[in-house]
Amino acid sequence: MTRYCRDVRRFVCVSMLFASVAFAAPPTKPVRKPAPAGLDADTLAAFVDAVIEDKAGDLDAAITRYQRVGKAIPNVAYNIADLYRRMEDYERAIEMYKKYLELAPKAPDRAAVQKLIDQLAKTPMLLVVDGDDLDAVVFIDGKPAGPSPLVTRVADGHHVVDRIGPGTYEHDSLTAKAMGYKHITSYREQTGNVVMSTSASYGGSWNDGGKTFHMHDRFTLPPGRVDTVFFKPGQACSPVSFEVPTDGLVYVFIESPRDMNRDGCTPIKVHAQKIQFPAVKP
Amino acid sequence: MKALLAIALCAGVAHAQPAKKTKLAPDKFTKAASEAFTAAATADTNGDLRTALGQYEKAHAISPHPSTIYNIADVQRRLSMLRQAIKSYETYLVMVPDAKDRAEVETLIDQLSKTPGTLIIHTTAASDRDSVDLAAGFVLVDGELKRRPGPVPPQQPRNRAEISIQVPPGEHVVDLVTSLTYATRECDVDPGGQRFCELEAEPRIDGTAVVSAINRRFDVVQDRRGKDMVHKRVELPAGKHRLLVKDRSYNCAPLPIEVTGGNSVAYAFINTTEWDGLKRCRTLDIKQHRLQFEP
Repeated sequence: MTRYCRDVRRFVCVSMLFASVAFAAPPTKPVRKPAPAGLDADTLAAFVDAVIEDKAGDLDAAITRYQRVGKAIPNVAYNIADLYRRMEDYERAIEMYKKYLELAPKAPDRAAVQKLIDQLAKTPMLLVVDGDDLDAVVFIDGKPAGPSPLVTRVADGHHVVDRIGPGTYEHDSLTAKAMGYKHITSYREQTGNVVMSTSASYGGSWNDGGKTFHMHDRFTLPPGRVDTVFFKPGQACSPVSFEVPTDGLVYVFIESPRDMNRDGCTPIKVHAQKIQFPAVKP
Repeated sequence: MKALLAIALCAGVAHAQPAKKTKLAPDKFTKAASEAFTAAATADTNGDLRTALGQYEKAHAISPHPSTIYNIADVQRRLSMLRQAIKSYETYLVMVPDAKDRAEVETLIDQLSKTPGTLIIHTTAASDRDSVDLAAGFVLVDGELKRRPGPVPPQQPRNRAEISIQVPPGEHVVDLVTSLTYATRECDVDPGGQRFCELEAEPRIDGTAVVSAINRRFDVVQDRRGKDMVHKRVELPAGKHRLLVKDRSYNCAPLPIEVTGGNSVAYAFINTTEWDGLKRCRTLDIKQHRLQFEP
């Protein structure tokens, strides 16, 4: 963050510090249950190998070994669940924790396991935003979320993601669900001094006063004040106004309901933020 | 060693057997296991650990018992067969989930697992054009500078230049950077073990920077269209650079590196302890050195 803050304007950094508050992640320490009594020599050896693979960090191999022991053994199901939990594969972890409870309905740790299942089931979606260029910044729903690469968790619901680099721009939208995962990576080279994005389900272009505006795109406008409407007169209840800088670029996010009103205007909020990279390509 | 009489072994095993049909068989196996166990205990008392191990293993193969596997582990430990001892202690814990000495055994496993091993770094015969000059190079293990250039006297009994370095058990990346070339190799060592690690390299590899990594799942490039420079020595102009790092298909934070030129080489090592299936760039530990050679 420190390096990033040297590179971009302070107001953006301050916002990002506030935006980067993380969700509480599930625990990551291993919790292994011992083998049950009465295993034959081969099964016992497979269980030991699983424990050794797990301790060596080869989690895939540990699961394979446990599966040889047999998933119908409660403690094996538990240990596989524990491995999936540490692999951040919460859906499979929950499946195996439930299997454990099914196999051991009177398990003394039933309440704790059920609590863990509930916690994992509520884990917000993991969002990874990256790209193979330096100094890019990421915005989620128009708010600064951090420098790229960004690894964060997002609350359930619809979100708009914009990644802006000195010479790149990537836009994506997603509907986040608990335990979900999304990787947005940027390859698109784009230059220009204006990036427009919105939470409304609109992705077109419009002309106004001899200028062309492109939603979810990066384009060039002459420096100075810009006043326009949101794609057609009367569609939005207020105009879209922002300042195109002489250096750097402006990120314009139009906050709006996803589905705009068909009868009457739709209330919008315009957030314009100047971004200055170490070397912006105009 | 676990204080245990052979008779206790018999009793323990007999208790676990089903009745009737197989009644005779357990007696036969229990008796044979008991004899082997007694022979092992006697050999151990007499200091003949190899025989003790063999007899304990025979007893365990005939009729597995927690006390036998514990004693196998104990003898393996005293014979410095640490990897095998760890597995045997783990087996003991698996066989006795509620062992009273579980915490003690777990501590022992942890200690044994961390017992350093020794990498014996050497190069190929002088008749090989790709043999390297160990004395002329910086030796780095997992990015830690272990040795600066200096004389490497021949070691017996092999009568060749060798550099012995104590390292934690496991896989390691050994890098040798000389003023002329660069050699790299992955070498693994068991707890308390010894492993030869042979280095060789093209006689001349030019470059002002070396980027190394714990495994081959990282790519490092100078720019979007650049070539991967992991485990390579490359020419970078003097000055500060930020290299693009990719962990499988996930981009990571850039790697800052400063090249000063002259007779120095900028060295960077990328390490991670996280599982390689995580769907993001893993948490990286970067080590850097400026390797300064005499003019």
